[in-house]
Amino acid sequence: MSSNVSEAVVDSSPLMCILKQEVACQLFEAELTKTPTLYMSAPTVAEVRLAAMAAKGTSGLNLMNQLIALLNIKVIDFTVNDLNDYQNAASKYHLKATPPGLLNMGDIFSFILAQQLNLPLYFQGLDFLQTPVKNAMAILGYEMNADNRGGALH
Amino acid sequence: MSTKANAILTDVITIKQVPHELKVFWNNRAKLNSRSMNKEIIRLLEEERMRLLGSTPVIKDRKQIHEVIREMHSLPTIDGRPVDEILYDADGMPK
Repeated sequence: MSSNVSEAVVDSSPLMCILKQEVACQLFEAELTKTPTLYMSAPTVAEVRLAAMAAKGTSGLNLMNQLIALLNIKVIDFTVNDLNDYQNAASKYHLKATPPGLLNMGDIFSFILAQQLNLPLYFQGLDFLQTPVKNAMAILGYEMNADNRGGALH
Repeated sequence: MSTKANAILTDVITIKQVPHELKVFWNNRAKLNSRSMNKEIIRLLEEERMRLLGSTPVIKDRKQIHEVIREMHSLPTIDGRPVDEILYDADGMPK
């Protein structure tokens, strides 16, 4: 499949899918490698480093850092200027919002970066599907299975 | 290197219909930086050129990426739970 996503934001979930060799691992590897320009929010990088360390120890953490560098992911600062966007997104889509959304504290950093840059988001799972974020894998023509975790078809 | 090789070709460009406020702003910036308006604008254009060249997409090394991922997969799993469960509680807040 030829990529028609030239720029995208990356959530922690595709990288953890790769680390843990889950079903969609090869698809994310292929598409993240093909997408020329990728961005991650700095807090999302912190999150994925922590998650990689928990899942696979210090070696997993070091390899995650190498992967982020090799994929040439640009890390974008989260600053005081982003706090209102964070609050607005949280009040609509966080699990503690009324009515509750599906995003956790970390998901919202990826969500607002994708919205701010007006770019699609690489993610796995159902959490973002109830938000207006553009699904990079769907744009590329992948149809994920019910839990959006793998078994993707073209 | 010869003098000829070192020579820098220059051109003249004229910018029309510059908003007054924009002109005043950059005029003040030029003064602040002890530069002429002309030098200030050239510096701006040069900085933007460097920024654009610097952001040219890098060719990613597929082989090396695959090798790092292969190494990841060879590591033992310490905690196999989903990230949501490792880092967050049921309310989506950090544990």
